Order: sequence, then structure tokens, then C-alpha cells
Amino acid sequence: MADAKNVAAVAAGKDDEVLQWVTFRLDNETYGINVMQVQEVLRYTEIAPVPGAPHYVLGIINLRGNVVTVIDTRSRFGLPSAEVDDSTRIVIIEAEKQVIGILVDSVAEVVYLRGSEIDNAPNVGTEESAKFIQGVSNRDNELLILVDLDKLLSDEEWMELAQL
Amino acid sequence: MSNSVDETVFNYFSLLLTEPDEEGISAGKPDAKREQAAVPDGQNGHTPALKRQSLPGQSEPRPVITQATPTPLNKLALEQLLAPVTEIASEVGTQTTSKVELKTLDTKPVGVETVTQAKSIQTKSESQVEQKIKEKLETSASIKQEEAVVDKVELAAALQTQTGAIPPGVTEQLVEQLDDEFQVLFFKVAGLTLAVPLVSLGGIVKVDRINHIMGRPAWYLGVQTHRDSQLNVVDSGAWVMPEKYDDELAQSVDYQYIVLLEDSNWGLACESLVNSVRILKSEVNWRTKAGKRPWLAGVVKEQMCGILHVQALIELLNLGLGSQDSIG
Repeated sequence: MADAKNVAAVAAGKDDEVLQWVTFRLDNETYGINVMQVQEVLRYTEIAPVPGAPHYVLGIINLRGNVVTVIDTRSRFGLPSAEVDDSTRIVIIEAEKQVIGILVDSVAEVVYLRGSEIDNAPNVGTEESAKFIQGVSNRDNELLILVDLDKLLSDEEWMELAQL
Repeated sequence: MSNSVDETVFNYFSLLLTEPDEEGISAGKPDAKREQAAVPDGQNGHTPALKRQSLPGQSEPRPVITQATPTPLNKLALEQLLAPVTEIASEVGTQTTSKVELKTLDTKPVGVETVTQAKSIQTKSESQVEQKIKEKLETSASIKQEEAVVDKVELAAALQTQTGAIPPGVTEQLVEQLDDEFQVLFFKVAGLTLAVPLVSLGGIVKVDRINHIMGRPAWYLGVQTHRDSQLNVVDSGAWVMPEKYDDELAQSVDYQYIVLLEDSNWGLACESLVNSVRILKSEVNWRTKAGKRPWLAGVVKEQMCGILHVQALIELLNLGLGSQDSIG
């Protein structure tokens, strides 16, 4: 039912671009990331810490023979750390031409959003993390915070990550 | 509140009002001559606006309206004020047809349709208030003529003291906008009572689900959806008194309502709504210089609480500034 509605919404406004967003939860808030940047979603697996790695790096995992760096998303978003549980996921994403993993509390669904449904985030942020937010959208009385993954790290941090 | 607490609160706000102007707000530096020209009221050195605006030949401020004592706490009236906001979606079609007389807010339960009607209530009451003023004054001069005289007196005073441009955020504009008798809503935040003129009140919304947005200042509580738009909710305690708002106090605060600021998308979270009363301009110690806190229009003497300058407050919030930050 909801899918049909979404498909209809996709077909409806050709001039109003529709994007798909993968939603995940962190500390009781729902965030969305562009589906085109998501490669896969993994159950939590052991993350090997890397000595000397930046504070925002949790460690590395082995993904079918490839080493993927996992970012501490909670820390990055200025949220307190939490215990890993059954719903914890590692979302493998591609941003700034790098493949990384982000640790999230849970992954919810894929939603369709028109450009017109996205509002600007309140522009009162001064902290670094304020830059991550691409916009907000109200869906079923719940606020979806859209994250710009490319801005999750600064240029220097992306370079630092590439050299890890 | 005990007397000592009242006095402490009063002193607190008085202190905020009398704080010397500092760097970054040079435009608002008080003119020494102007200060000399002002006549202190003998209590705390402030000059109530009406005293400065006294007409020629009238050395003492006149008792404009005898009904100066605010009405007691009226929860029922507040509930009436609040309830329609939560039901607004279903009643939006009918709300424009209903009008309620000002007196009913304080005296008897009436189906008030929406908080946003406070402005229409205020408007309707203006004529009644003016009528009362006329009767009490027993003068043939109309209110407009009186205002014109006051304007002339103010202009003369300004010329006499050679004051520079009116600094931004100072309360003249607000004071001019208000009637001699105007309504204010009192609300509480972490034990502190604040007042907002009803003409500047955009509405009252019950706290529902406030979404935390990362990277925002500590005083930014989050976003709450209200009528299909996003309402920025301010942690009023953290904003107004950051120096006292420690973790312990923050934990103890239980926000229940959001006081909307005019037609902006900003709202102040508050713990409780106290009451809505009519007060006279002369019952407020209005801010006479810019100072560091343009958001504080003055202190209501009887209730001993700060009255907000909502436009200045919105301006600060839009700039992402805290209560102690200076504009520019």
C-alpha cells in the first residue's frame, strides 16, 4: 500500500525530483541518507581497532577480502555512545570516492521524498556537525533528518582516512 | 514565592536592565545628558516610560486606570487559551467567526477558539480600554491627540538631550506599539517567571515530540512539527540564564508548553503558564538603554519578572545568538 503510494509519488512530479533515502536511527532520531550512496547494510560484526587512528574511526572490518574503515557515527553526531545490540547495523556507503562503514543503531526503510518535501534545516548551528544536515522532512508526523554523507568528514579527514 | 525570593528575582532583572553598555553595542551607549534628564523613580533608579512622557503641566503620572491590580491566577482561562491550539486542525474553518471579549479571559469560561485570537481580542478590547481611559481621565482630548502631544514631548526631550539614533533592540518601538493598558502572559521556566505581551504572542503549543538536531547550540532544544512546518524550540532556561543552567537544573526542568513568538518559527519552551493579565505601561520598568540584553524589554514591577521584547528576541535567535551575545 505504502509502496504503491510511493511509486505514484515518483510518477507524479517529474519536475519535482524524487529521491530515495535509506533511513536509520540513532539515539531515537531518524536520519536519511541518499540510497545511491549506500552499497549494502551489514549486521554488526567485530570491528578491529586501529592503533593511532583518528578518534572518529572505530576500526576496520573485512568485507569479502576488502578492508573497510568504520566511522563512529554517534561520536560524529555528538551523541553519547551506546551498547551494540541485535539491531545495530553497519551501513556501507560510498562518499568522496571512498567506501566506508557507518555504525548505526538500526536501519529502518527506504523512503521516497520529493525535493519540495525537504525543508532547510534550522540555520543556527555553529558546530562542525551542523554541516552534515542537508535538510529535514516531515513524514507521518515524524521528522526525518537528511544527512549529507560527503560532509560527514572534512576534506582533511577524508584524506586522512584514505591514508589509513 | 517568598518576599525574599521575589526581591531577589526583581533585583536580578533590575540588574540585567541596568547593566552598563559594553563593546560591540556602541550605537546604544547611553548619553550622559539623557541620563541626567531622566528622573529616577526613587526605587531602583529606573524611569518608567510614562513618567518621561508626562504631559506639560502634569508633574505626577496620572492614575490612568484604577484597575491596575492584575487578576489572580486563572488556570481555566489559560486552558481555554491553550486548548484550541491542539484542536486547531479540526476547527480551523470556524475559528475566524468567534470572538471573545477580553474580560471573559479572566472571569468566566468561554469557548475561546484559538490562542492566535489573542490579537483580535486585544484589538477588540482596545476600544473598550480607550473608552475607559477617556472616562477616567475626564478629558476631551482623544487618545490620538494625547499621543501626538507625547510624541512632541519625546521629540523635544530627544532634541534637548541630543541623543543619537535609537539603538537597535531598545524598547521605544515596543512601548509605542502597546496600548496604555495591555495584556501579558506570564509563564515559568526553571523557577523563573517571564512575561510576553499578548500582541507578540503567536500561540501556545503543547510539547509533543521534539526532535534533536545535531550541531546546534546548547539552548536549541530541537524541532517540533507544528501545522506542517518545523518549529524551532528554544530551551528557555539555557537561553535566558546559561550561567545558572547546569546539568542538574536542566535535568529538573520539565517543559510542557511552547510559547510561539509572533509569526516566526521560534518558540520558547516553558514549564507552566501562570496567567494572562492586563497591566499598565507604568507598571513596567522599561529598558531605557540598549545594554547587552535587547531581548529584555523591562521588568514588570508587581510580578517582579522580566518582560520580553519579542522582536529583538527573534532577531537574536535568527542569528543563532544566545541571551548574552551582542548583535553585530
